[in-house]
Amino acid sequence: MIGIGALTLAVQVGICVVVFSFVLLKFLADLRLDEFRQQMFIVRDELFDYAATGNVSFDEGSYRLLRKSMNGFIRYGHQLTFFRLCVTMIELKIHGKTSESKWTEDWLQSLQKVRDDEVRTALEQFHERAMTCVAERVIFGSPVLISLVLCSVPILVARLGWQNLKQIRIKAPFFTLSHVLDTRIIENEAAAA
Amino acid sequence: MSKKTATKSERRPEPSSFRWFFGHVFSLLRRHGANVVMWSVLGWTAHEVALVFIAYAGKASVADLTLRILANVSVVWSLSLTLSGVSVSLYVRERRLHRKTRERLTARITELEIKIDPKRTSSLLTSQGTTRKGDE
Repeated sequence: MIGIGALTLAVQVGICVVVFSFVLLKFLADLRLDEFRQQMFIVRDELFDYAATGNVSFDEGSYRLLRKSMNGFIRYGHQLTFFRLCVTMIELKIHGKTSESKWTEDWLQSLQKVRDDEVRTALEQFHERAMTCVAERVIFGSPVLISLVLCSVPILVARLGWQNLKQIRIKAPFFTLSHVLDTRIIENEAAAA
Repeated sequence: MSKKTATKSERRPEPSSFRWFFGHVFSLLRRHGANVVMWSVLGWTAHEVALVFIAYAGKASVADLTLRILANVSVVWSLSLTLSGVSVSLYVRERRLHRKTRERLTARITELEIKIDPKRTSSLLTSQGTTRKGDE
C-alpha cells in the first residue's frame, strides 16, 4: 500500500491535471475561437468599408462570394480543426463525393469579371487574408501541424530569401495547410453554410 | 411527367451499403470523436483513482485519510492553486464583459450596415458573438 505522502502527491497531481485540462480544453479553445472570429470580423469589416467607399459594388459577385465565405468561416469556426477536417476529407472519399470546388470556380469566374486590376488585386488580398486566418486557426490547434510549419519555414526562406521574414511568418501557415489538405474543400464547405 | 423522369435520371445514384455505413461512421467520428477521447481518458483516470482508494478501504476511515492528506498539502501547492483559481475567475469575468459589449454594439452596427447594403448577409452567430445552438 502506498504511503500517505505519495497519496497526497497523487491527489495534488490529479487536481492539477484536471484544472490544467479544463484551462487547455475549455478556456484556451474558447479564446482561440474568439480570436479567430475577431480576425475574420476585422477582414470582413474592412471588405465592407472597401465596398462602401465605392471601390466595388455590393452586388458584385466577387464581393458577395467573399462575404459569404467569411460568414461561413465565422459561423462554423468551431469546426475548423485538423481532426475534423481530416475526418471530413475521409468522409468525402468514403461517400464517393467528388472534390467539390464550386466556390473556387465561381470565385475565379467572378474575379475575371472585375475590370479594374487594382480592385481585383485588393479582392484577392482580402481572400488571402481570410485564408491566412483559417490556416492559422487549423495549424496552431494541432501539434502535428505546428511541427510541419516549422519544417516549411526553411523551404519558404529558400524561396523568398532572408529579407522577407515577416512574409514568411504570414505565409508559412497557409503554405503548410495547402500542402496537407485541399483548401478548396474548406472554402466550399464554409460558403455552403 | 417527362420532367419528373428527367429529374429522377439526373439524381445521383444511391451509395453502396459499404459507403453508406462507413460514411455515417466517419460523420459520427467527426462530430463526437474529440469528446469520446476526452471522456475515455477521464473515465480511465477515475478508475485508477478508485483503485487507489479501494486499497485503503477498511484500513483507514475517510475522515482520517482526509486529515492526513490535508496535513501533507504543501503551502506552495496551495498558493499555486489559489493563484490559478483567481486568474481563471478574472478571465471568465473579462470574457463575460466582452460578450456584453458585443451584444450592446452588434445591433447598432448591423442596423447601420443594412442601411448601406440592404442585401447584407450575416454570420448568424448569437448577439453575443457565440455559436448558435443548432450549429454546434
